[in-house]
Amino acid sequence: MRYTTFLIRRFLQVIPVLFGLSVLIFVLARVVPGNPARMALGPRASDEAVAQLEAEMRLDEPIWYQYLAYLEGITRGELGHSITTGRDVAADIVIFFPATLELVILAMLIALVLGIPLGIISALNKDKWEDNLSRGIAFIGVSMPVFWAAILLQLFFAFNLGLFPSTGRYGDIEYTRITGMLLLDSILTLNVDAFRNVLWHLWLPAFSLSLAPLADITRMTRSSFIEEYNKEYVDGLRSHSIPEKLLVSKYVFKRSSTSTLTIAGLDFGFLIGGAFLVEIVFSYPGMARYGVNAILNNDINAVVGVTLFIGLVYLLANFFVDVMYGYLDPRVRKQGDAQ
Amino acid sequence: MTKETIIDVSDLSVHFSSYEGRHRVLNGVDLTIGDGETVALVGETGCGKSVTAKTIMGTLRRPPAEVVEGTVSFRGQNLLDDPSLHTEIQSNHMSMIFQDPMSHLSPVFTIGEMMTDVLHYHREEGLSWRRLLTGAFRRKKPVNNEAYREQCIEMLERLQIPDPAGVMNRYPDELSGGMRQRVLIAMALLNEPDFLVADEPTTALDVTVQEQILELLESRIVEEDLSMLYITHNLGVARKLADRIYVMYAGTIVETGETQEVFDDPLHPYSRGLIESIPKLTGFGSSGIPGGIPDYTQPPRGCRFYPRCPAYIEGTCDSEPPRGFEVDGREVHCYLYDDEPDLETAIEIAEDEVDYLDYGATQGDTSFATGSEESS
Repeated sequence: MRYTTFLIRRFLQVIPVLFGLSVLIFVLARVVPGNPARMALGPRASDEAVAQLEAEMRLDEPIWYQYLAYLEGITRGELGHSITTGRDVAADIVIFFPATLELVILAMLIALVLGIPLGIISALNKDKWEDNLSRGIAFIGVSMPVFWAAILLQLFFAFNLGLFPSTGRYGDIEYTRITGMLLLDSILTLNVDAFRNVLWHLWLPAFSLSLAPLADITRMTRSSFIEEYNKEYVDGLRSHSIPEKLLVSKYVFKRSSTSTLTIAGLDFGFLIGGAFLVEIVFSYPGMARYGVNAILNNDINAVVGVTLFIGLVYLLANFFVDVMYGYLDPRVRKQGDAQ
Repeated sequence: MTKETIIDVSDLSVHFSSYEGRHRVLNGVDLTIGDGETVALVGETGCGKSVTAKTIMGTLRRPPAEVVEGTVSFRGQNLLDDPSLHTEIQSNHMSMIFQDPMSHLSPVFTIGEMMTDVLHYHREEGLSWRRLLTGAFRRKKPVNNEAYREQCIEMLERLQIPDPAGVMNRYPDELSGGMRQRVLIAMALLNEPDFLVADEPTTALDVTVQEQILELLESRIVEEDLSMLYITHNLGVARKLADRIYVMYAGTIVETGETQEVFDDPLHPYSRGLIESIPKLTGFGSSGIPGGIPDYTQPPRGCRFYPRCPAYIEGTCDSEPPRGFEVDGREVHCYLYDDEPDLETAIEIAEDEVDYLDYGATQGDTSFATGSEESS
């Protein structure tokens, strides 16, 4: 299969992009005003102490040299020392990121599971009340800022109705940490109580985070479905007596899901950004507080590390989208052959 | 007609609603096709040929289309009243092939997958979602069913497709235009139809391939004992294939008759213009018909052709649409023949009255006099 070569090549493309991103963010972090060493030590520290910390952080060296040293660190799995937590940034990411990833994945699942059917129902009932309803939902989802939606949902469901906890990630439960993604961990350890508890906590943040991508996916699915549904091959297959339900669920659906997938891939980036806001609203212990603190304290290693890592996740998500393209459209696979 | 009628379209009027208003596209179309007969429906692009075909097939989208009047019946059963009967009869007895085989095949499924789906599902009326879902998760999908595969491969073989088993695993864009059209015909024949609608199936192909496809189609029609409605703007093809011919203009049938008769002595001014505008190898003297298809939201009163007609009679042609006048067994919708003369007189009338070269000169339109193929 030549398609695998295509995929490998496509995967390797992640590396130069990541490299470019790392140069950009590395330089940016160092040229913004404010001395990281001074920020770390506070205004009362002596100039000697600042100079010493600068030397420790290699800030007195030329920037390209710093960068090479940074790359060398990466090969050892180190992303530099964080001045706020005192740990290596890589270790911090391992601690904080799984929570965010869990939130983002659940939000994406909600968006897909609700958005695709909503879009299809909308398309099949174009301009009828079902369509207007789903377009209304999509409109609200797109126009409402994520933190605002989060606050409203929190007020209503957590404070007024008391159906969900208002903050936190889990209650009074025991769990074993394996991946750091608590839902996954509780499944792996067959811990039903923990699973339910974590899901109960996760539900509101994930739902508020999913609103905007849900709207995007609904709208995109609707429009691409309508477009595909009017294609000639649908008429052709219909005239060969393929039942309408099969036409919709197989032939039209497969073609239209390419666009859905594209928008889902793009939304993945939004989700990570939105997760920062949602995490703050729900005091959810993920990357957000860590990232925000890093920026406020000019913790350059943490900023670079977090950004790079998010970039990596985003690239991988879109690599996955590309793999799915190949699955959905044979012509994409052949393009791989031609290259 | 001695043969039994298989398709009978009578007084069919179809309108389309859009933002511009109501498009009165089909206006009282009468058309019959006998058992085992091949009938050609000719006319320029946009005159309602495909709408007629879709109405017969029941694949017309309603809305925007609306059948205002008329009936379509298959062996005496009226189809338009009962959509489920229409679907049933269509799936068991009718098939259609299309102009552009690329856009009429899904690019993301293999030929085999589509063909086996047609075989597997074409008789399933009330297919439930539940059955579809369980079907999707079953390992034994139609495409893996040996019996279906065999049947498809056999059908592809009958259409002289080389390496049919290999073609089953290919995607439409991996085949040439001619092969795709063969595949499309094979798919259309899978339900063993009695009646086939061919909507300009050779237009998108180059001339040599066109010839092969036509011969193939002809042999299939004979062997499978099919009746066919062949829609085309290519008069040469119509002449080659059809027993009878219907000439259509702007949603109305203007003339019908045995193919050879119509070609030898076209009576309606439009048919004359159409046949005269075939480019000939000798000389450049062929003419065209000035003007174009009318605006369907406001079609001309009376005969729809009169604004372009060289034999236009003021006060008569623009009052009422002409009914069909019989001339020697043929039907011509034109007031030139309103006293139903015999053939010789009719030919004389036609030759005297219908002269596009002169008419074009008076209209000051130069494009047609130089022999453009067909105004469309």
